[in-house]
Amino acid sequence: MNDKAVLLLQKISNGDEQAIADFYRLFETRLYKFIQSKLNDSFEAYDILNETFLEVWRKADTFEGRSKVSTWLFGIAYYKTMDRLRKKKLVLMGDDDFSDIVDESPDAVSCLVSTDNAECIRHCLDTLKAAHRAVMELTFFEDMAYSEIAEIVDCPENTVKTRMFHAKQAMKHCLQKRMEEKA
Amino acid sequence: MNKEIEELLPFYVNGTLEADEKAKVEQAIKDNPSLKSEIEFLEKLRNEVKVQQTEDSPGELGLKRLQKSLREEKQKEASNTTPGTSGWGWRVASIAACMLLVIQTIVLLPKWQSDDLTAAGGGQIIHVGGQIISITFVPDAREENIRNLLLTVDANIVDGPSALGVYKIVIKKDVQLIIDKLKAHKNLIESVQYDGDKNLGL
Repeated sequence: MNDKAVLLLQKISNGDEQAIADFYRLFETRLYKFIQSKLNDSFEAYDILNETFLEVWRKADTFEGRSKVSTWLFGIAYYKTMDRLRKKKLVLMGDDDFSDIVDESPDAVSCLVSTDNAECIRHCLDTLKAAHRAVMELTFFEDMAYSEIAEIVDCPENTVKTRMFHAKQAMKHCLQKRMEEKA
Repeated sequence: MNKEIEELLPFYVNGTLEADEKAKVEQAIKDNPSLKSEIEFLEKLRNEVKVQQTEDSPGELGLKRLQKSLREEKQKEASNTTPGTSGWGWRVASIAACMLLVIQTIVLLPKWQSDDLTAAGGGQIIHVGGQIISITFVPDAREENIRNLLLTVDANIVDGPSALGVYKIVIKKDVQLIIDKLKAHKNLIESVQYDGDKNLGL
């Protein structure tokens, strides 16, 4: 798939409008999900999606092939999404703000096997800060390596691993609370 | 639990670890079986994240919006390069205006060299009669000395200098006497020529 995407980018850099349409169809669903999950606003997500592909049209010739096309593309989308969140003055929790959450959730796994999996997960994902949610989604939905994620979110690889660790801890803590509330 | 290993677990679960890191994790699992429950949690979490429903993406509608945006961008670029609406167009117009001014100056300049000149303040043309002598001065002649000489012979400069440095002076007395006197001042006068009786419009 990456080879196909690279070929499309080359055509796009030559002004090929059919190529940008094919490129859009190739990535649109994944990209929209990635954007929308952080904005929680479909109209804004549509805007960011459009802006991201416009950026691809303008900057296709700058893709150097040092990373996968998806890494480059998600990086653009991530930057635009975070920029929109900053403009909306939504505070993004930094890594320093994240207090260590003690793992007190022996029942976290049991919550996940209950019939309310989707609702629990959705609720707890919504409680994550955007930067941590982004890392979790890129890790588990996109199945990306931490080196790729580091490129997309423009931070050191160790920071990616730390954010994922903290996001996992927060999910466990949240799932435990959901279990306790339901009990 | 070893934090370094714990941080690698999500990437072990999604299958993206390099061989050496994967081996390190698998050794840790052998050494600490409690890691298996952590891995089970992460695998279930990964499955649930994958099936999370979001609103439908815009699909073909979004593509049409993108294509419209591309058309607008192209139109914007085209209008920026149209002469007359761009900076480039204004530069061409200003260069043309400058050239027109130069051409106009070249055409009008010879007329300034006519004998009839009107002062900028709107002065009148007057006619001077008398004995006209054309005279040139030595290049390093001082004005004070020229002034004194001309006052001595009661002469007035009525025209000049020309491009060759010729002045016309008018005298009312004996022409030859004055010409001789002027020629005697070789330190001031370079040449003297009697033009005859003329009427000059000044």
